[in-house]
Amino acid sequence: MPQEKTEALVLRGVDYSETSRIITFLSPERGRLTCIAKGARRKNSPLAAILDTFNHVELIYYWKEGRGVHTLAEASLLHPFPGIKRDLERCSFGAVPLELASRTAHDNEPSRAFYRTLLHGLGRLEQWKGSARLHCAWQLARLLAAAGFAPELDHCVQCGGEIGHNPGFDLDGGAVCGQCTIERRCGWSQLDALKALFSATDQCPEVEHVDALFRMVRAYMIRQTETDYRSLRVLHDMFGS
Amino acid sequence: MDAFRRLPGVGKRSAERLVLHLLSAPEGEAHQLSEAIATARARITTCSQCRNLTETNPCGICTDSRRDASIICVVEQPAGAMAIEKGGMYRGLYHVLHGVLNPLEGVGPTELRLERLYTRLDGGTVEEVVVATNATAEGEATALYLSRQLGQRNVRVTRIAHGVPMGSGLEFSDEATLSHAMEGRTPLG
Ligand SMILES: [Zn+2]
Ligand SMILES: [Zn+2]
Repeated sequence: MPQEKTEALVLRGVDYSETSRIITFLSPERGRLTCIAKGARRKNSPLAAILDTFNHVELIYYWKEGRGVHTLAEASLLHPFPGIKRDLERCSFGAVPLELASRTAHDNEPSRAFYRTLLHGLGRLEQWKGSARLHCAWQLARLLAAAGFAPELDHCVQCGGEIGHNPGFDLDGGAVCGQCTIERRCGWSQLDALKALFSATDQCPEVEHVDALFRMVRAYMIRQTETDYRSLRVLHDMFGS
Repeated sequence: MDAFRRLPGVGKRSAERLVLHLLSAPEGEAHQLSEAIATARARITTCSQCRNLTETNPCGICTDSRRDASIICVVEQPAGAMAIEKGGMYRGLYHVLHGVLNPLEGVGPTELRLERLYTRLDGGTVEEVVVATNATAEGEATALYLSRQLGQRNVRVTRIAHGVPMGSGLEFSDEATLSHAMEGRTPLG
């Protein structure tokens, strides 16, 4: 079995046996990578702390071709994001980008841009002083864009024309002009804020309409990835919509 | 054989030995064992007050008048309460969550039935809640969330000092570390 080495982010972990855990990582070259961490639940094992959710780690693992679960040989900690974990809003809203990654990244498929986007976003979240809900919407927008789900926001997705007055947002693809039919209109100020969110590569822009933006990005993500997100349900339970 | 292998601490070898032993032992012995397992399974329930595993309801700890009812220690699993009991220093009551807030696994306040904990505080007897969830991202989030929710209910919320290493569970810490952690608890929020 060949040994491979990579950096990765810990997306989630579940107990597997009395002594081991199964950990899902996002890695630049192997995309979503699932490994069994033997001994991770053993008394005084340093692995437990290294493989905590959100952690940026370096791994050595045995790659088994054609298998879904590989075997972790070694892991070391690069950064544990304490600034996320010590803040209830940051760590709760920060879980949604992790779930998006664990549900849309593919096994054994390079995902360098997607990986960089998630790592960069978590670094920004750690320093973020504003609304965690807004930051979450920004991270999701950036990840969706990196995964090829960026909405069309410059022209009407239905007729291809100028957006003009009274724009709307279509979950199937992007902005809609005043002449085309859409259930609900969002108005220019929300559409501008949404554009800012999708185009801000370096850090979350300070925009208004936080709740509306979060709802739009959330609904767009669910529609585009055809997935329901457990973390969104839990967030609703914890903080309301 | 597979059934035995699923038991904690039982590897392939031990499973083989157990099966061979049971097959060669007098029939009564195997039967007794299966009865004992079935009875234990049927008798053990969760305490309606603290949600710990117990044979009597409410459990022996909740009904023990010598215990200090002004303090409740919140743990993730029954094993955590068991580990603290072994330390022998703690004299208060427990509350077992049977999990932690874990957005990615869909575990929120509803799944943890946190209202059961809140109800216990309504009587006004409880003055302090010690949050002894594990030092993982999820354990920390649960502690932060509880401190916010309980803070509105006029109780002191403290967190055990984690000499317990980050990422590990209570049940995997030794007793000395645990007693130390209990004494060194710090206010939350
Ligand atoms: Zn149009
Ligand atoms: Zn009880």
